[in-house]
Amino acid sequence: MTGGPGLVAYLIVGAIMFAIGIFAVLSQRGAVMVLMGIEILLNAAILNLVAFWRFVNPNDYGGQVFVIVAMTIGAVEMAIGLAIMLMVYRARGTQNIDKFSEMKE
Amino acid sequence: MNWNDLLQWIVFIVCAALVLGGALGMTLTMSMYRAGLSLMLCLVAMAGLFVLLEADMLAVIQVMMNVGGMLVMTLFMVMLMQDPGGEMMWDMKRKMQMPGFAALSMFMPPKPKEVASKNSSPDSLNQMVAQNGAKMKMTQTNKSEEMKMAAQNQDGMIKPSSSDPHRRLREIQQAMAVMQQQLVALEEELDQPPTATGSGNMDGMHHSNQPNMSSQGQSGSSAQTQPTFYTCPMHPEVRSDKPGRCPKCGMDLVPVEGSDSSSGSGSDEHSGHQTMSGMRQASSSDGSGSMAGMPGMISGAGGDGSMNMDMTVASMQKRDPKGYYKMMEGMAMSTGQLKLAGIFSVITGLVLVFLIARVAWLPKSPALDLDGPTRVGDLLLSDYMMAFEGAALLILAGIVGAVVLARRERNRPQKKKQSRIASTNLVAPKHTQDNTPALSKPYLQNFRVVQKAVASYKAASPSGTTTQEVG
Repeated sequence: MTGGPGLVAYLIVGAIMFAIGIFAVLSQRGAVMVLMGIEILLNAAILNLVAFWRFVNPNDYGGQVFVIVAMTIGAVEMAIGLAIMLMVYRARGTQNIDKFSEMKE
Repeated sequence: MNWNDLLQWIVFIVCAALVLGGALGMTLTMSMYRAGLSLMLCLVAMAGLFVLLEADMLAVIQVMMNVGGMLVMTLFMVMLMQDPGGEMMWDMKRKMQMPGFAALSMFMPPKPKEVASKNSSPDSLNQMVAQNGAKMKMTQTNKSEEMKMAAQNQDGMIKPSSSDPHRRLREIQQAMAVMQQQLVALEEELDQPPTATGSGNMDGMHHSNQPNMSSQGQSGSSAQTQPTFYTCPMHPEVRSDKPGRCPKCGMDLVPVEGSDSSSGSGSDEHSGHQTMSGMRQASSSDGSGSMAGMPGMISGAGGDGSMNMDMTVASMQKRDPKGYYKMMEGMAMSTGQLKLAGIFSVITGLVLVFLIARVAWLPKSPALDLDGPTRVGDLLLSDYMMAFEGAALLILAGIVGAVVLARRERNRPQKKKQSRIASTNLVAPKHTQDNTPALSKPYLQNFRVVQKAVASYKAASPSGTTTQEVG
């Protein structure tokens, strides 16, 4: 265990973060909160990517490029998600995802 | 292990703790605003981890992209979503600090009991209190009915001006504060000691199933002899002997009887709980039960919900994990599947950690090209050109999509409004049938009156005669 925190330390942080993100997505009622949970999930995955890049093959910067693309997708998802949320909120007057259950009936 | 490694470990532990703490805080807090700020903390700490992994450019991108996005998101939530938890949290704190709310809970017990305990002497007061407590549990349904009546009375006094339940709740609270002031003033006029009845009664309500009830009752009755002091409803720390104005906010000071000693503060807090739970119940039973953000709260406040609320609030103060879970369950922002979600996420985490434990503990390779951003730029413009362009296109499409979605929905209500106006002008009777039946008839009449008036005016104006003659 020499040389600072190793790969496993980062992976464990990412795993716990992923679990918290899943909890947030499943337990929250507000749609914005669910979006925030998705953001946590995405960041856990990104942390794993960076850690693997650093420890497995640090001289190939393709790993960082991958992370940049993933972040971009995350930002786009957030923008679209917020726009849809805004639309739904204007149409329904609520952002409670329990109320959006027309497909069920 | 040299100093460099130790420092790395320290930074790693701090950043990891902030990341996990921020994520947990985002999940567990009751306020959306705080959730947004916690998520921001989590992502900033994540940038710290990136720096530790020697991915500096990614750290910068993380801060610029995600944290900026989080700011926007937090603003969105605060402006648009009428933050369901924040107001509630703020309310709780305020009520627990306010000594003036001790007297307010006198509205909550049913009136006959209040009168009875008012007439009784201090000696028999404790007995009355005990009986009240016993009755309270027996006649839970009765009480809720009386609550409903009380709430209706309040509704009569307060104009139900807005359909927004939060605003209505605030209105009711304000009106109750005003009523409390009036009541205290009235009781001063009548030269009656209000605290003995008030706090005794409410102590009985709260401690109906607790052993130290009698001592609390005595403290309430002994408060009779203590002098009155005045305090500001908004700033409980402001106290004076004479009535006047608050130096901080300029509001009129409210008289409070005798609870400035240490014995009074505890009962004040309890009465705060009692008051709040009663208020929730009252506001849930007066027809505005579908409060937008907090259905869980309200469903918990039906029936014997007042006791439940008391328990959760009291236990939250003590940082009791079980009570905290209860609060989460009834909290505005979590679903009913809270337990399942928790179990599932814990299982996921354990499985992931188990899988990770089998990975080799790779040390960092010392040789790392320090000119990372240049290399990344080269790669982006050579090998990963398509991915880069694709990402750029995605961002463009995302922004355009977001703008289009927002624009289209902004236009739709206007169209609806226009069509509604058109239909009222042309086929008004048909349209009013779609509306609520209670509104349709007077509306129709109004419409016909206006139509007649317009017709008469039109008939009158070309001939030059006045409208009265034609009518």
